[in-house]
Amino acid sequence: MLRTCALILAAAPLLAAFTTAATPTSIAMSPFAFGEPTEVSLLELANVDWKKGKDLPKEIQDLKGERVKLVGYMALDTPEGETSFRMSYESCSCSTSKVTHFVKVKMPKGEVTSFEPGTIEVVGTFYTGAKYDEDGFVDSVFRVSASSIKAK
Amino acid sequence: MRWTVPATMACCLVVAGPIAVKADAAIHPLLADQDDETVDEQPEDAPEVDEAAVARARIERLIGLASTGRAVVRPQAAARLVEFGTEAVELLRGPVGEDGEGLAALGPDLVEVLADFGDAELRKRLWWQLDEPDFPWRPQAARSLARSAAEVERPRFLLLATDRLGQVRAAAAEALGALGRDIQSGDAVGLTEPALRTGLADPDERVRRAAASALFEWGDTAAPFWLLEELKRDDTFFELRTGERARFAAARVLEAQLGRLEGYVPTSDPDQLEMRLAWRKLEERLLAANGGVRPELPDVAQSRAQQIDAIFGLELRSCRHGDIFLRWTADDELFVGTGRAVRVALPEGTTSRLIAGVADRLDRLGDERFWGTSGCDAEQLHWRPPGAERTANYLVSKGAEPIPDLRPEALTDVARAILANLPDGANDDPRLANLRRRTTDALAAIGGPTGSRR
Repeated sequence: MLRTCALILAAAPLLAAFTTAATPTSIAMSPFAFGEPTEVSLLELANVDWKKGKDLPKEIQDLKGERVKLVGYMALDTPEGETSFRMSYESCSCSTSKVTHFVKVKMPKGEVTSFEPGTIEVVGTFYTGAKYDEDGFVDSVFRVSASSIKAK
Repeated sequence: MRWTVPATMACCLVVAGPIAVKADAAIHPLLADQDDETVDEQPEDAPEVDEAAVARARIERLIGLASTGRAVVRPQAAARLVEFGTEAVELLRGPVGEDGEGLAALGPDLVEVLADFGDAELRKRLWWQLDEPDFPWRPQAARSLARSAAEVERPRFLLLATDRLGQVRAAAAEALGALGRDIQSGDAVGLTEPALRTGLADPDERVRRAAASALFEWGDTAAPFWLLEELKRDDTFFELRTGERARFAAARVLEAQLGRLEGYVPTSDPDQLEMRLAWRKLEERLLAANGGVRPELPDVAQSRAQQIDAIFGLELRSCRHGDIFLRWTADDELFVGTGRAVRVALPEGTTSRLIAGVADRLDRLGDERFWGTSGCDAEQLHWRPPGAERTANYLVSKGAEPIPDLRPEALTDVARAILANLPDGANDDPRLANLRRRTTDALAAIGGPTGSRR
């Protein structure tokens, strides 16, 4: 019974603002869908003293592969219909866009972005380490493969 | 002549030929390896690579990326540009323009690093544009100049310490802190320290923090109490954790000066027993250094924030007019600012009248919540009427350039109603002084004129 409840909760409708491009996979199938995720502060990530070639603090590295929960905002320049977006602790473009100020969020499978101006809660698997774009610029240091995204 | 950065500049170098390959190679280490192999395979009579053209192409590409690239790339491209030094300066002179009039088009990330080139002519143009009230990147220009502040610029930074934009005042405080106490000559004798002490009571927390940090670095033993106080902040502006943000910023400064923070962690609830104990230990250390004296902090710097159950609020962030934070409660109170906000008692029934008008207008908007594009200008209506499960956000945003008819009529109606109920005129508290006029101007600069009387 408990398991059934957990499945229903985990598969609760995702944020209405996100549209479904294809048939979504069942989030309940995710091996990480059970148990409380670790809440990670976007402010803590933004305050990490990191630059190219430097290691991230151990406590951040240790989160790699963990199921986490993030609460924050979609970046204002989030395009519609994408499979990923940048998330930050503020809704404005008011701070310097250091790469650690963002977490790159991969949408749940089958979902695409539609901008939500309010607070959102993302649950998913956390990954760390610099990823570079085709020009060698750091594209992201923190990433989450989301299993659920909802308005907070 | 006004130069503009071509939007295509960032991607125009995807062309065939050794020059383009070289240009990319410097940017991407992986491509550099491929490039070396390509060179080995070239026949002996292959044309020589024009190194100057390669560097030029590389710099032009970086200028484009730093100006119009993706948000995450712009600051990185700007930083790489600085590494080119004088070669980049030569190519920047054109786009910057004779009077620096092209700086607006170069964007905030390039302006933020412009003084780092160490070029006197570029520096001069940054100062000129900083003097232009309509220049959209004044905070970035001020920060750029502050990082390499020169003694001869002290009077200018003293002037900026009273600027209307909080971010500019904060940059001025940083510069004055770096310059140190006044030299015993010239007009600025004895003015720097009072300017920083005035900054300790500034309505903008970034200025208070910069002033406290500067005085702390000078060896002032009372100033760190301003930062210590911030470690207790737990305020929010709707869902925005303004208190936590302040805790991080203050902890960073204190840690740089004091080393260990006795187990204090800014992510933790400051009311937790462990955090209170850590705070107490820090306070004991500061008291010991300050002869046992606990300085009296101005009200605005106190951490005790009121419990504000706001029904709706307006958050304005304008490149040219700064930030304004307003909240209304069901008890006819208006709170202005974040942290320890200033409270204004409104005539009875004001909030309920406003709510009725706002709700009606918002209904007209349907499901639409966002208008415009990302940028430094944003106005956001936070709407959480009684019984609502969550705050609804209505966001209008844009870059430095105006967008005609950006704000929908329904939100303009809401803005007009809000403006009509704001206090105005002179006030001892800078957060309340000319509040209606300042809010009208900021709204006009972001979403367009409201048609309200200033």
